[in-house]
Amino acid sequence: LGSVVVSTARKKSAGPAGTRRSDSKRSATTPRQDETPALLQAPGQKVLVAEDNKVTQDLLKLLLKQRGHEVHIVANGQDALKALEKDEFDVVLMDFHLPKMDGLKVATAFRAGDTASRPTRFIAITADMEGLLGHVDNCENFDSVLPKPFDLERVVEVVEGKPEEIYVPSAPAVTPVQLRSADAPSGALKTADNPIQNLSHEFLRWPDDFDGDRLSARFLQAMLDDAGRFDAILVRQPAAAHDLAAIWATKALHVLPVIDLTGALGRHADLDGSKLSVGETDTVATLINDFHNRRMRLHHDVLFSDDLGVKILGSAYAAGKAITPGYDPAQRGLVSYSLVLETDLVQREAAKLCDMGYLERRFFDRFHQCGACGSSRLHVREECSECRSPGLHEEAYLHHFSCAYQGPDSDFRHGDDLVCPKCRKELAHFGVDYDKPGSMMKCGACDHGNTDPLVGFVCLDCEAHASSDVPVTHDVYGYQLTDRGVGYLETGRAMLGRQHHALRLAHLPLEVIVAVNAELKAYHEDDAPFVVLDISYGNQRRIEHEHGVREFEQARDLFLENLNNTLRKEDLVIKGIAYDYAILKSVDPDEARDGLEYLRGEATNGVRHDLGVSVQVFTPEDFA
Amino acid sequence: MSETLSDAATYLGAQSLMGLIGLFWFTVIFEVPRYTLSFLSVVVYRLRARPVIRRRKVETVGKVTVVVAGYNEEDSVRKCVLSLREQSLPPDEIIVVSDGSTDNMPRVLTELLSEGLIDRAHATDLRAGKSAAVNLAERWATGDIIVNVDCDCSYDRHALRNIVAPLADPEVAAVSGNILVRNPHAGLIATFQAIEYLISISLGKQAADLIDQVVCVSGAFGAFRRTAMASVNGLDVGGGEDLDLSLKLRKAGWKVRFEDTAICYTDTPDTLRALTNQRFRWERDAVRSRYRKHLDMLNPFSERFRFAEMVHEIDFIVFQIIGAAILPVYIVWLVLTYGELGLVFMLAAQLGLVVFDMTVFALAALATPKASTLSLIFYVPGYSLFNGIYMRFVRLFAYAQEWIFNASADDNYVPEKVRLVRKW
Repeated sequence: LGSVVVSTARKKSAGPAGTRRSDSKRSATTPRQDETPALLQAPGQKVLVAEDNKVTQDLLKLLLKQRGHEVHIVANGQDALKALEKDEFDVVLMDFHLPKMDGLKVATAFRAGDTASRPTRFIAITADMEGLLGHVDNCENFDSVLPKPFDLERVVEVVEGKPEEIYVPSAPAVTPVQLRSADAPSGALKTADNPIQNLSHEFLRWPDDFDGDRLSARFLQAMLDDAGRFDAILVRQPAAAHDLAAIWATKALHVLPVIDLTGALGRHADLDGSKLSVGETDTVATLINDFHNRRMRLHHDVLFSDDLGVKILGSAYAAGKAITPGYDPAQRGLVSYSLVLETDLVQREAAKLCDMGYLERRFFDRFHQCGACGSSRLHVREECSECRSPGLHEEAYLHHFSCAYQGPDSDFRHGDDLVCPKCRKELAHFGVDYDKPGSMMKCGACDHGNTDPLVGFVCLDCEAHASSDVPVTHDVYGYQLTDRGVGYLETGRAMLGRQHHALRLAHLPLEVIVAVNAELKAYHEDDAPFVVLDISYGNQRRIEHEHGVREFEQARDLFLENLNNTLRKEDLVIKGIAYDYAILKSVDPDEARDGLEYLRGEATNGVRHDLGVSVQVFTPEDFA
Repeated sequence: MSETLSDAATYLGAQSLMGLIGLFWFTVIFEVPRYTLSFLSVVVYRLRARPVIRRRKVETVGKVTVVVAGYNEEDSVRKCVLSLREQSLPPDEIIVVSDGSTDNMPRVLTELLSEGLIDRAHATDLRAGKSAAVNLAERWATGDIIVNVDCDCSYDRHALRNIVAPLADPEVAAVSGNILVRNPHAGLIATFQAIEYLISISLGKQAADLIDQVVCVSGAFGAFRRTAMASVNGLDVGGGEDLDLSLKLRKAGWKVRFEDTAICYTDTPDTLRALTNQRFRWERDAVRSRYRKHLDMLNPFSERFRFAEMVHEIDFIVFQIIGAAILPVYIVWLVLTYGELGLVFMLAAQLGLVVFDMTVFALAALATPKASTLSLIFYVPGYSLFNGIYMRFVRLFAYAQEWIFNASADDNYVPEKVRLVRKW
């Protein structure tokens, strides 16, 4: 125990067998975790790390500090308990095997006397799952278990209370339509007899597999048994876009097609299953297949991004169509989009993405809005300019030629006769005595007369009144992926300029983190500068597409080898998954930037393809 | 030529006073009295020694409604309304009537209405004439004071405050604003108008005001007491409805005032043809109104006869009508009697009048400190000749047309359907 196993794997499948077995137990012991809403977890947690291994201490400290958390380190069980009694923590990351007092004992002891207002989550770190489960104390005092070796991203997620990553990029179970028999869910729904749910696809079912705005515990458990391969999300009860928020809160669900069995989702869904007959179920297979094929082309960064904007881009890409608005009287803005997301969220995020050049606008319509509450559900009416009553009627003007009196028809009415109110003469002959030069609108409520009625609005949501002369308008656009957007989705952040991306430690290979950690120590102690080069390949997609994956990998390997040869002995070149890294010791950042062109030139020597290499330089300050 | 001039000078030098009067009788009878009132008024004006900046406290004259009636004024109505909203005394109510406009004026009114800049708007499809348009607006007016304005005029910031001030006197029914020329440099004709307006309105009406002889409240800018308007049943069929209304109010016993500090600017015609046509129309309307509709003002046996009304009627007959009619006679007489010398005498008389006019203009400029007058002074001699001779012939022609041919019946200023049933 106590050693860090270096692994660059991101997936659960990379873990040892022991991890897997603990999963069912682990899920059963997560009631406390459920109390924390998935997306609303505020950053800046106070974390206690109880760990006796120095390298693991440093690693966790570096990782969590960079995410903005406050980290306290203790090296044994007694110190951990003391720290817990003295101070309040949000999260305790605890090695199961600790000197003096083991982790589970600490947790049990603390729980027994826990009076603190702040709920503390205990997370066990261990490679010895058997030992943990066989312990005399109730291991349910742990909220989560993190197996060693670490998946760093997973550590961050557990600490920050994020739900499981469930996307598994495997081929979809697209098989010819065949009806299952005994697989119907227990709670019979109105849509129970819809043929789609009997298809042999792997469906994520709403609301069955969901619990509020997150995935249900039962479902997560199923995920961890690694059986989860989802083809589509099946909505089995009438739902609105916000009911399906979990899709956006969980990783990689946003790229699945949404099939609505109820018809209530309208254009939010990718397929309205309520109108589908048994004979048309091929449509489902086609949809799932298309989504899958496009999903396969998405870059890993995009698939697993936490950023809602990036998710929206990915979703549009997977759906293979523009983000299209349409009229929707159920919305306050009267518009909904072809995404299972609330209108204002789509608009807010899309506006940012347009500014970044990933989406382009297509004007759809201009809506008037209520000045008081912003709703566009307005009742439009003609009304009196004086009292705002819509009870108007038209009345003719009457002009008496000989005395120049002009007024509404009613001024002249005396039974059947027309008598001038000014000169008391009877008007006998139209065109000779008088004429009717036009008409006015007269208000039945206040007797006010005007040439034209005004147009006014009444808000159906807040009943506020607005006149048309102070129009608050709101333009609605559809959004389409730009070439730049598609490029980003397919090649990840290689497309982005430097300002877009800070280095996220959790995304780095562990080898890089360990090396950076060592360099940082040297930097703080001896003031020895260093730089980390982040190398990405802009032409990866193109080369893979034109020459195959192998060809690209060969070119990349040659490039890295050349680079390694060009650099000094003490420098490190580390190959990552999507990106590669080089760590240059005792080098000034400016010096490094000046030398970049030379390095690039040397390293691309003899490489057959133009890799589109772009290099970002990170300095010690970037890791502060 | 020089011989003729020296002969004339010798002849004039040899004349006694009576001889000179015998020679220049036209000037003595028809011109000199014209100036007397002006001199008198300014003397009185100076004696009163009002402070240069008169602080007018708006006394409780009540709610003020501004009425704008226009025909095809889509371009100017918004500006006009905005300038009204800029007044130091903002109107309590603005009513605008589009009198059968064929342009976009009705649409502009709807916009103004929806923006809350005006309170009521009425737009008819068929033109009814200025009188009926104003009557329509006043049908809806709720103010105690109604101020009529023209779309194409502009108003001093304090114009509204000042024009309603005299209405604090309950006997006053109407107040006429002071009209100045906005385009005095648009051409010689416009320059002459600027001088004429200064003399005949700014100074002339100020003088008339002193002796209760303000007879016409300009259609471009006048304030009326609503109860007084109602007592005379509003405007009657035009044209010349402004003069007609003022006469009606005076006959009904109301006072009509002039307020020199209520300043309004208007564009005058800048071609001789336009000016001549305008004056033809004005003079014809004046004759029709005074001597057809309101002839009873001259009849001492009429129950409506009032001395004050007879004064301005006679003044108009003598100085305007007879003066214009006698001028050709005088010229013919001069030429027949003195031959070539007659024309020289004529010029000499006119030269004398230039001196008079210069003096009067200086007085007018003094009485109206707001107007920029300095640049106009060099045009006064030209104006003197133009006004004394050419404009007299215009008037004469207009009177003859109206009396002999009833020419105002053809004035398109009022729609034909109305002219056909007009009594006078």
